[in-house]
Amino acid sequence: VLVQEWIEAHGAAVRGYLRAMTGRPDLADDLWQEVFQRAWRAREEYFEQGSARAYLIRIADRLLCDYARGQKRRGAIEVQLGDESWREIEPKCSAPPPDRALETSEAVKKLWAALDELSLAQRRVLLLRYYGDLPFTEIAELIQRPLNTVLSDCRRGLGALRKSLSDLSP
Amino acid sequence: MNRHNKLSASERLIAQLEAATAPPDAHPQGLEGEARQLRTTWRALDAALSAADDEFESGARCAPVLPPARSSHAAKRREKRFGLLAGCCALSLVVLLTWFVFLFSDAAPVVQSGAPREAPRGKADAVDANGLPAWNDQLDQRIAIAGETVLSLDERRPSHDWSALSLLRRVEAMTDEAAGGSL
Repeated sequence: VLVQEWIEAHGAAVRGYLRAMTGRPDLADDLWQEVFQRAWRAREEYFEQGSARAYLIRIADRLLCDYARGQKRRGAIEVQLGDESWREIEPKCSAPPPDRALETSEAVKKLWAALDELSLAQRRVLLLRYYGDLPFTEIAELIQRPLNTVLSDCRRGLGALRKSLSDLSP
Repeated sequence: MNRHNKLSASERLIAQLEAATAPPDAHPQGLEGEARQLRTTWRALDAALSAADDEFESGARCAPVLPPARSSHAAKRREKRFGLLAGCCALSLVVLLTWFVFLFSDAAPVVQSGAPREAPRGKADAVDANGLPAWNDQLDQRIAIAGETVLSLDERRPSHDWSALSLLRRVEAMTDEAAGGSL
């Protein structure tokens, strides 16, 4: 019952984070299912923490890191989630799948183009903040980077998005 | 003093950025200058991500997979136990059926001694020296003789012994008699 509640309340946010990070709906959906299975197995840990959303987004982020490490083992190249080498192993990262290319709207294309302009570290910080509503101190702890670096990534990332998203502003 | 200033500057920056990147439906107060611009960009990002989510959600939503109530290891063990039990039941049933087949095939009289016989197919009108019908059907005659032999074996048996060993011995005796030409 708890997992069902989590899926209803936070499933879309977790999926959104995974899709925006990977750019691949198929991979995101696989990881999404794994997030809730892991969340259920480690639910005792959740009861010691606070927000369910933050708990699930943390698991999603760890799974992405595990996936990146797995890809590194296969491809024998150095890959870290916040690193540009991610793009070497995920060349289709920002492109929509071919069967969806036609139905993808102009706005979504602009979004992917805008996200591509960010470094992966900036993208990760902004998406953790957006989907997980995590404080910056927790983001710094999660991604194991200094707080000032995280703040800088957020500020510069939003600066880079300003121009590309200006015509999408509400 | 410098350290204190640096800390407060960092705290100010955190407060500004957290206000600018607060949930889009929130209305943070006191945003000025760069923070206000960042807030506008943040809301634009929200609009774009929401539009993208709507588009993707239309097709590719998977059915949620709930974690199993019990571990797969326990389920396998349960299946194995059930399979073993079913196997034992099936084996017992086969043994019981075999025993019943032996029991009834042996107990059912083939020919009742002294009882009037039903006329077989191909019965002749004439009778033999014993007053029995003179059958033309040689197979029926052989069956009748075999039946009488089985009955005589039955009478020689000391009691109703239905063990597999006694059944085997009787079969051997019948085989010997048949080999000796009495059947």
